[in-house]
Amino acid sequence: MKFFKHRPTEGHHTKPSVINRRKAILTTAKYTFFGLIGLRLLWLQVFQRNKYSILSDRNRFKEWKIAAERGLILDRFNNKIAENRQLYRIALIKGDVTDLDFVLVTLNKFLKLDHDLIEKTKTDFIKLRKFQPYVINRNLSWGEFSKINSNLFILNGVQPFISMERHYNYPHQFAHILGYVGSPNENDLQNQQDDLFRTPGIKIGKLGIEKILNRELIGIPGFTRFEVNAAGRAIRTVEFVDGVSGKPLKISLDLELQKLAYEKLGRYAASAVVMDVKTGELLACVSTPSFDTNKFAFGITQPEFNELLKNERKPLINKFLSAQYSPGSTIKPIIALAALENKIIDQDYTHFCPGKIELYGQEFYCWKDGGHGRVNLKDAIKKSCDVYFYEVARLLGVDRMAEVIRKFDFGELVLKNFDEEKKGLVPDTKWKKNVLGKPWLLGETLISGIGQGYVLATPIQICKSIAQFANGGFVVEPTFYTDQKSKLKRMDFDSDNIKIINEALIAATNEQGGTSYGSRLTGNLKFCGKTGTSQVTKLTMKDREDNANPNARPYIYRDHALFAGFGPIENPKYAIAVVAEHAGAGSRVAAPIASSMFDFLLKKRLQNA
Amino acid sequence: MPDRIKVSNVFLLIEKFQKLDRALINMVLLLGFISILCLYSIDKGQTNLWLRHLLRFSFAFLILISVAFTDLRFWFRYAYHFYFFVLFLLVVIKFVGFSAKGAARWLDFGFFHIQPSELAKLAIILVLAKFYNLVKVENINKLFSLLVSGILILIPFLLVLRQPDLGTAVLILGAALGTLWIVGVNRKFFISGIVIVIVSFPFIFAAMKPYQKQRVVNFFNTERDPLGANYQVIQAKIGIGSGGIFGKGYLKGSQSSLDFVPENHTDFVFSHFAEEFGLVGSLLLLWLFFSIIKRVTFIGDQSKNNFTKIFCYSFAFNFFLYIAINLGMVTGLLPVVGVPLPILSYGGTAMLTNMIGFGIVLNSKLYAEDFI
Repeated sequence: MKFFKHRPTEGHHTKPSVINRRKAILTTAKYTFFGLIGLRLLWLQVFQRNKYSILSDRNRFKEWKIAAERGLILDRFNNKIAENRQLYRIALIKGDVTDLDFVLVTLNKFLKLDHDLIEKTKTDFIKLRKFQPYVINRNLSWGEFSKINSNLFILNGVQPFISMERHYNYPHQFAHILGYVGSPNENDLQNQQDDLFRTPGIKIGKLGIEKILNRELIGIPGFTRFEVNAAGRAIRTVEFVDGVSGKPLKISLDLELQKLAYEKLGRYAASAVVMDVKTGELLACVSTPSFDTNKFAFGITQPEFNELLKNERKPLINKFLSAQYSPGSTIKPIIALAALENKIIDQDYTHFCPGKIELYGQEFYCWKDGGHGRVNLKDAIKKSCDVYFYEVARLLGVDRMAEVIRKFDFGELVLKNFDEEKKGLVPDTKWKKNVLGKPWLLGETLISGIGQGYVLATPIQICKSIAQFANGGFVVEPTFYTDQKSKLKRMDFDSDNIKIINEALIAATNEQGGTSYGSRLTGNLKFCGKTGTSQVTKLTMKDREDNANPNARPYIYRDHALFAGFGPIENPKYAIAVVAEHAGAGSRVAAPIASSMFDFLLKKRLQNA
Repeated sequence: MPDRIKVSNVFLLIEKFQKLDRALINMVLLLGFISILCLYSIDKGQTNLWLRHLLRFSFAFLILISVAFTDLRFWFRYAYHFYFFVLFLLVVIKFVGFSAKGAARWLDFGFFHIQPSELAKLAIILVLAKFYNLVKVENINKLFSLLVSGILILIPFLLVLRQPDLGTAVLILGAALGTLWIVGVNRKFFISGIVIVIVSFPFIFAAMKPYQKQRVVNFFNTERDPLGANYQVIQAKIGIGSGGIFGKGYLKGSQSSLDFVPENHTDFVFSHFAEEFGLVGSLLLLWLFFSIIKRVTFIGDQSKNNFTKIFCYSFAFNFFLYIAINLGMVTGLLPVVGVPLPILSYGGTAMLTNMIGFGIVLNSKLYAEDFI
């Protein structure tokens, strides 16, 4: 018992009571704390359960969205103009790639990658998060694809895959109206409410119909849901949901006509619009020169893009919507209508054309040296007499003129949903005072009467105006949808006045002496229309002498050639506007192009149908 | 003659075995079983961590039984020796210990790693129990006894704090203060102690390591820095909260299995348990822990000598502190300090310490009738 020699002699028996009392207090503290923990668990697991369940799922599930196949675009006869093709591509998976340099060198052996692409891949690859795939920006041929597939055992982390990519069957012809697709940039992403555009590999419409109807075309992306661990590695696939392909979209364009127009306009910086005069359906919308939208869909190279930008004929500009021209003589039918409506003149009103007139010491020329002599309204339109219209404009005044021009929706957007569309300009005294701060001059009224000066119009506006003459004075709303029935609404013009002008237009093409007589069609279906030659600069005397040879002037000072017409002359169906920049006289350049399109439309589409 | 002695020894052993506290042993075994289930579920048996835990638990359980059969007087006799041996280890570790995450805590014994700071928790209880067994009740609040106990506490506390291992140091201090409270040290010392800590908090804070400061700051602002310093607690809370009332089901938890909760095998193991077994499971586990504490206290109640009484109550308090600090930390009620959940957490020494502690408690029951 030597172990216990330190045995206390006093106070030994009083100790347990102290200890027991203190123990009881401690036990209470323990109860309290366990209760606290219990309440905390109740709070976390019952009252905040939903919040934490969501957070837990957000942790463990990651979705990899797969872009759906984009909807086809068909013309009015169901020809495919934009479709999708299988592309063979490869992706590198970060984290699975053990030696990037080796992989790239090996890939280079099979694919002959260019140096820039390799460097870009290397720099981009570093920025990736772990297990994120990186798609190499190069399409593989089937041969290359199968070579890679059979050598996968040495290519760690290389993932060959097949994707569906947009392909334009007529990349140049439909470039401006269809637009093209591309990967969304930061700007595109910011304007979106949902995260559809964040789908990896998705292509969105960047321009034209592809952009306007992007949501309908894009479909619903499918997705694979993975369970991932904290490092981001996919552990297992939880579910796979197929996407829904975009709806096929039928548009009102006519493939054959579009091709024809593109071919005919080809030489010029030009545009042509064809529409149905009753429904407003656009049958062709061509702008030349054009560009290859397939290249844009895969990311055009900088030098190629710079070349497009530098080209003085501006291939990137959508000319039928956003190029603004002085309408020139194509506005004369409207000026004449304004004069008839305001009862300034009647159809028998005549005026003598001496070739030029003088006003306050300034000379105003008719296009025809020596003048037309005495002309009435019909002759004035048929022969496009400028002096007659100077006089009409003088009598009418610019404000009454502008009022009628505006009734044809000049100065307004026609298609509205194209970002690049321009409004044009209809000047009047108020406009000049507000915008330029100067009073209106009478000389400006005169030249407005022949579509020169401040007045600006887009080809689609010109086409719409002539269509509204053709259908006898009804409003048409141009559209590229086939199923929209536009309800015909009368413009508040006297239909007799419209008829007078239409007869003059018919004469202009189909009677000897008319400005577009040389382009007339000889079959039983005929067309008619108004030519226009719009001056880009004020002509000098020398220029007037050289007029026979428009190529004598530098390109950018040459006249624009315009033509606006409709056909067939009985019961009109089609309206066409053609504008060729710096191409010379409308009767020589624009009218023949329109004529060949009418020829196609009247013979192939009307007679054969 | 030798034969007779042998037979009587065997009978003694059987008698001892029959007198062992079955309830406590069963509860400890149940806890061990739960811990193995839980560790298996965390990585779905892909590693053999659960197997190693099972081996350690079995080894520690053997130690528990051996300790339970050892004469209580042995522990009483060698309490001081044990205490100084642990101090010696704590000093040695400064030179030959190897570090984990910047703190020199471990001694390598080849097959087994020992963390002397864990043993220090047991040593401080033993040494104080022995010391206060000897001190007369009227001398408890005398300067001499306070000074001695103060020194006994401060040496291991400071040594562990310097490792640095704040969690264990706090536990050592907590266990020691619990013992002082139980033996009847005047309340005014505790009250003034709390006041001093509060007043000197700015100085303590200034002396902390940057990561410790971070933890304190984060504790008061849990939404701050969700991917950095608060990541652990936020992820643990997600695990617990997403378990709901009945849990996601065994082997169906994701937070720990997919490594979102760091330290998922060790300090934050409760998060996984709560995720799979829900509020019901968690409360049952709490109840199991509480029953163990109550049982240990009950054994202390029945003891007729002060040494075992003090030891049982102190050990129960120490065990409680482990659970309270760990669960408080995992559920976001307390700042993050590295304290494991007894027996459930993967880790050798903490389990060994607790099992030795339970062994002594069982031992106390065997010798409850004896006066020391």
